[in-house]
Amino acid sequence: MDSRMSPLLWMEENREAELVRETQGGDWEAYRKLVRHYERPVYRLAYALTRRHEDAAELAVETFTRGHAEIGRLPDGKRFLPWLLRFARNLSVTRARRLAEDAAKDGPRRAPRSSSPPTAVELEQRILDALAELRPDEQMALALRICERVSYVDIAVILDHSAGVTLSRLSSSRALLLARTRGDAGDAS
Amino acid sequence: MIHLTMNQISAYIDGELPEASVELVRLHLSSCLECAERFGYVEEQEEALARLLVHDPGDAFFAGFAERVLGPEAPPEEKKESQPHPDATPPAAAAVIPPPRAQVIPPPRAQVIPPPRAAAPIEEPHAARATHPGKGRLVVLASALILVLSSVGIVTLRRGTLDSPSAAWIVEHLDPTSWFGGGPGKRGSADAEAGAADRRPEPAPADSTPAIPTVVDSGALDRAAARSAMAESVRSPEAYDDAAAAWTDALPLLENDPEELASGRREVASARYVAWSLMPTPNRRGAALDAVRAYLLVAPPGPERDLAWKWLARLKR
Repeated sequence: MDSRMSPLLWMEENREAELVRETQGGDWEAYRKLVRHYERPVYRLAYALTRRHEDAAELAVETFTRGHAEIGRLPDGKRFLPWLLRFARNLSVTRARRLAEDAAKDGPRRAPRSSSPPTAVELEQRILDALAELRPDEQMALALRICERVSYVDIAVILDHSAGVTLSRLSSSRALLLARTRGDAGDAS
Repeated sequence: MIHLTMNQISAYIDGELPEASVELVRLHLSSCLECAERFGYVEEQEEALARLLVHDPGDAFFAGFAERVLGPEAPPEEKKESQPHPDATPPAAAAVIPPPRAQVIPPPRAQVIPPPRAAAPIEEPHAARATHPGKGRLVVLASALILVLSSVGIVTLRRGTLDSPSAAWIVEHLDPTSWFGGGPGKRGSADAEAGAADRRPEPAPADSTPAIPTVVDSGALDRAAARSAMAESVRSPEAYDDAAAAWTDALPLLENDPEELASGRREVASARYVAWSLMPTPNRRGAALDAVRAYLLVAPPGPERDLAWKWLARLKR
C-alpha cells in the first residue's frame, strides 16, 4: 500500500487483514471494529452520493450489512475499504435509477436559466441538478476528493483504476458542473 | 494564446501538479484573464460542493451506528456466548447452542407420518409458493388438513363422543400436544404469539433418557413446519407471524448445520416478509428487515438469496 495514504482513512493493513479473517471465521466483534473504523468515511461518502441524511444513513448501514454478508468472498490480500465501497457505489446506482424513474413520471424539471450570474443559492441548486448527471465513478471520485481530501493515488486504489483515470474523472466532473452552472465557461477542456 | 485545460486546473486545485507545472500555471493565471475567471468559477464551485456534499451527523449518530449494522454489542464476559440478534446468531456462537439435530433420535410418530417440514417443499419461499397452486400447494394443504383432523379427533375423543379404533390411532400417533411441546391447553394461540426466546426448548436434565429431549427438540421443528402449513392455508398475517415465531423457536436446533440454519432463517424471513406484505405495519416491517438480514448473513448464493435481496429492497422503500 502506498505510503502517502491518509492514516485517518486507512486502517493499518495487517490489523485490517486480521479483523477480516476473524470476521470470516464468524467473529462479529471483529467486524464491529471494522465498522467503527470506517463508519465515518463511509457515511460521508454516502451523504455525498445521496445528499440526504436519512438516505445516507440507510445507504451506509446497507453498505456495511452487505459487506458483512459477503465478506467471505473478499479475496486474500485485497483491502477491505475499496471492496466495501463497491457496495456503496452499486447501491447508490440502484437508488439513483429509482429516483430517475420517479422523476420521469413527474415529467421534466429544469429551473429556468437567467443570463445573469447565479446567486449562491442558485449556484448550489444548479450543482445539485448537475450532480445527478455525473457517472457513478465520477461522483465517487469527486466525493472522495472533496469530502475526504483523498489523494489521486488513494482514489485510484479505491476505485480500482490508475491515477491518470482519477485525474480524468475529476476533471470531467468539474467541467460538466461548470458547464451546467456557468454555461460557456465550462465548455472548454 | 494557449489556455489552461480543465485537467491542469483540476490538478492544480487538488495540489496534484508537479512543482514545475505549478509555477507555469501560476504564471499563466496572472496573465490570462479568461483562465483566471474560469479558475475563479471552479474555486467557487468547489466551495459550493464542500457545502453541499459534506455533512456531519454528530457523534450521537455514530455512537449507535455499529449497533444498527450488527445489533447490540455483547457484554465483555459474554461475548462468545451471547447472540447479537435472536434471528442472526453468528457462527462463532454456534458452539453453545443445543446439540446437533442429526444426533437426535426421531420420535415414533415420525415413522408413522413424515413431519410436515419434510413433506413441504421448503426450497421455495412462502411468497413464491403462494403464487403457484401446484404440487407444493397440495402438499401444504394436505399437511394442514392432517393437523386439523388430528386436533378434531383428539378433542372429540376426550369429550367421550367418539370412541373408534381410528380415533385411538390418531391419539396414539398424531397427538398435537406433542407437536406443540406440552400438555393439552398449554399452548393456545395467544401463547404462540409470545416471543421466541420464551419458547426455546429447555435443555434436557443430565439424568434424563435420550427420548425426552428428542420429543421436545423434534417437536419444535415439526411445530414450525405445521405453522407454516397452516399459514399457507389460511393466508393471514397473524398466521405468518405465528409461523415465523415457531421457526425462530426452532433455529437453535439447526445451528450446527449451515445448510439447515440457512433454510431455517429463510423460513423465518419469508414468513415475516409475507406477514408484512399482507399487513404492512411498522412492527412487521422491522421484524421482516431483521429476519431477511439475518438470512442473508448465512444464505448460499443462488436465486433464493437474490430473492431475499429483493425483499430487502422492497422492505426498505
